[in-house]
Formats: sequence, C-alpha cells, structure tokens
Amino acid sequence: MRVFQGAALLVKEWRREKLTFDEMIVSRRSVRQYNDREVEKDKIEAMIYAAIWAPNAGNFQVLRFVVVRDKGTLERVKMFSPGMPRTAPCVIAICADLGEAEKRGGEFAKKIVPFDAAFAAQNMLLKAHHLGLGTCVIKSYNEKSINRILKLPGEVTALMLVTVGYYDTAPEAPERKNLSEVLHYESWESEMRRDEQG
Amino acid sequence: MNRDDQARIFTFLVTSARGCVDEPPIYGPLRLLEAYSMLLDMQEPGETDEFYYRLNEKIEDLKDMCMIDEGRFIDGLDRVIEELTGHILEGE
Repeated sequence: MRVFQGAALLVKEWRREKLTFDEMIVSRRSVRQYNDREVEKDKIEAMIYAAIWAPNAGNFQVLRFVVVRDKGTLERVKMFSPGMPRTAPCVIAICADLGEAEKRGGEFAKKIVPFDAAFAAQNMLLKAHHLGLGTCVIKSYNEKSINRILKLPGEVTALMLVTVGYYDTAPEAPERKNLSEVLHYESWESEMRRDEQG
Repeated sequence: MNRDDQARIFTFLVTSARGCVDEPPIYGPLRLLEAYSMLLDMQEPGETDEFYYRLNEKIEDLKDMCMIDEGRFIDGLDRVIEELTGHILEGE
C-alpha cells in the first residue's frame, strides 16, 4: 500500500510540473485541511526566495518572514488566530518593519507596505503550489498577540500569515466572475464587445 | 477538558469575538463551527455520543464550503440542524 501511495505521489508531482503557467494560476486553491507530512526546509526557503523577488515600493525591502514549525509556538499562534486551519504544520508570518518603511519613504511608504506583503504572498502561494504544497492566507488573527508570541521587535508587525502544508484532497474550485463582468476598456462606461469575450 | 484545552478554547472564543467585530459577517458562523470541532476534540474517548463525531465530518466539509458557495454553506447548515433535531428528538 505504501509503495502504491508513493507512486501516486510521484505521478501527482510529475503532472504538476507539466502544468502551464495559466494552469498553475487557475489550479491553486486555499487549502484548509493538511496532512501530517512535514514541510521541507528547502521548499520553505524556495517560497521565501520567490517572495523576495515580488515588486515592492521603492525597493525598500522592509518585509521579513518568520517561519513557525515548532509545535508549541504553532499552538500559541493558532490560539490567537481563529481563521487558521487547525491542522497546519507550518505557518509563515509576513512581517514588515514599519519604522524602516517610514524612515526610507515617509508616511506614504508605511501606508503601502500591505501591498508589498500581498505581492510577496502571491509569489509564495504560486511557488508553493508549484512545489506540491497547499497554502492559505490568514488575516483573522490578533496582530498584537501574534507580534508578542513571535517576539517581533520595535515597529515590526505581522501583516499576514500563510499556512503551508501537504494535503490529500484539493478543495473544489470556487466560482469566479468572467472577463466581461470585470473588464472595462478605456473607461468605466465601456463594455466588452461580444466578439471580444473569451 | 484539561488546562491546555481550556486555554485553547477560551482564547479562541475571546479572540474570535474581537475578530468578528471587524471581519465579514459570514466568518461568525465559521468560528462557531470551529468551536464545535475544537470542543469535540477535547472530549475524553467514549465520553461523547458517536453521533456528534459523525456530524463533525459534515461540519468539516461545510467549513470549506463557506468560502466556495455561501448558499450551499447555509443549506448544509440547515441539514446539519435537521439531523441534530432528529437526534435530540429520538433520544427523548
């Protein structure tokens, strides 16, 4: 049985590597149920490397990443993160040094740091998906409590949490709007021509 | 329920209460379902009716459905309540 499961896993990973860029984007899911398999350190570092190359305001690079895999710390983070899947074996806190942001780019830079975090997160999610890992972005947590648990210094704060882990079954795809519902050319009043709709 | 479990559930409930002030309204039902699953996990083996464990499997599926299709999530909740009602009435 174990040999069969191993073979099935290899086939699954081989198929994933064959996905086109578009298929990769469309097949990514927010995974909320993980299995027990441990997430390898090199895969986590590959995700963070992808995050480093996300666009960021003024190239100030004020984001920092705290990876939590220790069961005790994970448990504490979960306690103050009601939106976090209970089975997640790993969580990455996307943190920002707001003091450094302000010093480098003033109030404006400080205000747009959450955008940097979102860009970094998307790179991480896609990289994780490419590596066969499931992820879920979490914003439902108590920021002050998480900052204390992770011992974040000064004006460093946790802007977003990303759970990471292996999973057995991918969640079904949610519905998405089609192009004609969201796309406007040149101005808001325009409509997509029927022959332009995909 | 041991002291660790108490810390877990009490913290979850209070943090959720604060979170629900700012979060989308649909997150409220989700937190309550999560509390159901957490409390069930904290029961000693044999202490709880098997029915509630079976119901939890449906509740776990519903948690995913909440973000995928709100209508199906609400229908699913109604079905779970129907089952609960039947179970309670059978026990009388």
